[in-house]
Amino acid sequence: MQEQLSILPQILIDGLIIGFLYAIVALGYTMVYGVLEFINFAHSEIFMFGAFAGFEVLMLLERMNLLKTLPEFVSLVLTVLMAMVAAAAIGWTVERVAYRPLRGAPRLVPLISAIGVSFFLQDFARVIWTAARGNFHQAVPAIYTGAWNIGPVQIPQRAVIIMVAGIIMMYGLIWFVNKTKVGKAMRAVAQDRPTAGLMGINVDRIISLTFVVGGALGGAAGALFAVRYTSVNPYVGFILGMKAFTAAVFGGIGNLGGAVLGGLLLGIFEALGSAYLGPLTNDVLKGAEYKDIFAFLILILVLVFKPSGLLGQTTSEKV
Amino acid sequence: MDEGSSKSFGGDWLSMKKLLAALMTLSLLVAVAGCGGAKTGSGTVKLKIASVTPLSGGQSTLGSAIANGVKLAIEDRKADLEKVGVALEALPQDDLAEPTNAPTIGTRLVGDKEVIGVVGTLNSGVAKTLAPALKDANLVMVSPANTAVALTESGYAHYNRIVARDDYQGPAAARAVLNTIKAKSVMVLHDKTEYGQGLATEFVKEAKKIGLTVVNGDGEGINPKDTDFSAVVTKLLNTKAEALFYGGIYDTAALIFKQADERGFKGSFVGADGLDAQDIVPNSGGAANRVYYTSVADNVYGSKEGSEFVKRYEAAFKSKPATYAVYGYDSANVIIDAVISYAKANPGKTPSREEIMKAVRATKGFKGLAGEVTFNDKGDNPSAKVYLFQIQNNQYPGASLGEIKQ
Repeated sequence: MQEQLSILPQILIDGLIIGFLYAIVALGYTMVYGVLEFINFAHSEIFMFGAFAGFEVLMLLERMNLLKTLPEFVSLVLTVLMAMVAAAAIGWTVERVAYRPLRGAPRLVPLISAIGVSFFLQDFARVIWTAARGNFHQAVPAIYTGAWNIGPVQIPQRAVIIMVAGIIMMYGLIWFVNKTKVGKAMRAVAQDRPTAGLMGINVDRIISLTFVVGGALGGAAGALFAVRYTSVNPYVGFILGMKAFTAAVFGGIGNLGGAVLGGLLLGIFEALGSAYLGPLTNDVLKGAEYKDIFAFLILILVLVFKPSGLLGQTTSEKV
Repeated sequence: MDEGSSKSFGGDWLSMKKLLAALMTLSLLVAVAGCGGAKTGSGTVKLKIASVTPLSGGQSTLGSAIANGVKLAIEDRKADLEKVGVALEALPQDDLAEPTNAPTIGTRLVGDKEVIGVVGTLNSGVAKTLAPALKDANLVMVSPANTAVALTESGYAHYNRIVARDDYQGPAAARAVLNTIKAKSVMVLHDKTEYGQGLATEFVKEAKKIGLTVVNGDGEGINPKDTDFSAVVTKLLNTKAEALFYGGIYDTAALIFKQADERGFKGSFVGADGLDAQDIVPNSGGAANRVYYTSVADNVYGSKEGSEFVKRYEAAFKSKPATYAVYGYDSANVIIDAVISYAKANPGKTPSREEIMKAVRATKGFKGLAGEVTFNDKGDNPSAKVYLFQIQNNQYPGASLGEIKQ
């Protein structure tokens, strides 16, 4: 028992770290949903392309021999920024090609289109990188390889980067949506699309912007993922995206703070489940196998009792 | 009057529609009926060897290697086949490593009458659903990679494999961990598949017999599509195990190994033939040179035929072959040999699937690039041996550490 408890701090930190990654990705899902009541299933692949973009930037820096000479912070910022730009462009393109033509169609149709885009992008990435580099599984040049040991806990530097970035993005997004004119326009479109149009807001442009910002978030998350795990392949988005989406729902879809809260909690539950389910159930439920089930079970329980999620508001239909 | 004229003008257009539909269906039927069947009219017997492996997805490095091995084998034997009046074609199928895709592929292959044999699958889980689909048609399967024991214990007359089974490979890995790698405690993980879990179970059984401590009970499953394994690594460090054994495929293995190494795990990383792909080196990071894996072929590339194979492969496919390419090559050649001996004895005739199936099962002492192949009455290859490799100097394939005896 003592031994089990001794790893608790590390487990919590591990959970928090992965939780922040879920949180950043969840922000993208929740923002698009908040404005358009549409779940962009392709977000996970935009995240993946962000990871590849980050990888390419780091490879370029390494080839130009800048990786060793530039301060690590500069490399990091360059990587994340370029990934955000690339992913935002992809997000914008996906909206124009796969969603805009379907505006007005029944809800399910763009959803299926999104799933199709997701699969397409996965194999598209595979084809591109197999052609460009001979393999779609790539190792990313490493930066920030150190770790800090605080007492019983080891925190890798990259993990701290993700946490800091997550907090910056959350507050940045909340500021953007609430304190800027464009943000106000987005909130207007989210609240009542036809009336917003009548008020002179260019709805098309706002919707494009939503996907651009969402894409940028996904791209940043992807770049951070590439830096943290130093490994990219076209399938990294799939499971992570599904969990982040779940986290967004868990925290209250449409609510930015909820996305972050949901992400963090999901990460922690997963880590706890992975470490303790085994010992707690006398090895009947071996932790690592059941950690996903454990995390999703909690999700189901929360939704049963609070369908709008932890921080979500129950919307009443106005007759 | 009007009704009369509209009737004759448009015709009874419902029946026109029906007529059109009937004509189209008829022509489709004729086309389909005409498509199937090997044509012996022109004298050359046209046949196909299908390969069923993942050509897309995380395991496509191994799957493509096998499919390419089949293509290369057919290409290399073209002259021999022409001499006996047979034209062979490769028919690669993508199973995405998902067992649920097997029935559809099976139906398709059974329906294509030119398909005379199947090289596949890579994943034991897929083979488990593909074998029943091909059984009634007596379509022979030669697997270059399936290691799950159950596949040759199900009484299939059409299923064969050239590689050793998990009840040989798993225990061999356990013995290697204790005797060669000299680790006294090991953490066992697997990917919950037919292959990985089966392997881990056999590993644990043997470990208990030889006194190798397994720190996590009977082994633990993880989700192979996951990317973050911090919690598992934390447990690993906490148990102070000296080695980590992973029953599964290279893509997830590399991630787990890398993360364990980054967190300061100094022990060895062990796996089986699922790790035998070039990706294992760059993607394992600092863990690479402590990776050991078992495989069914000894250092193939060291032999003269092996290095020539590599040259031909690189010329044809512009990439280096994973070791599985050789298994695919050998599996295809087993089927090709059966086809050639039939064609020699029966010139101009198309072999039935049953005859090829029996001929393949009767294979004795076939000398392949990866080793000798003889099929026993279950479809296993008793000549299959298990060898241990270690990645050294970030080079793939790993250095051979010799055979692990039964």
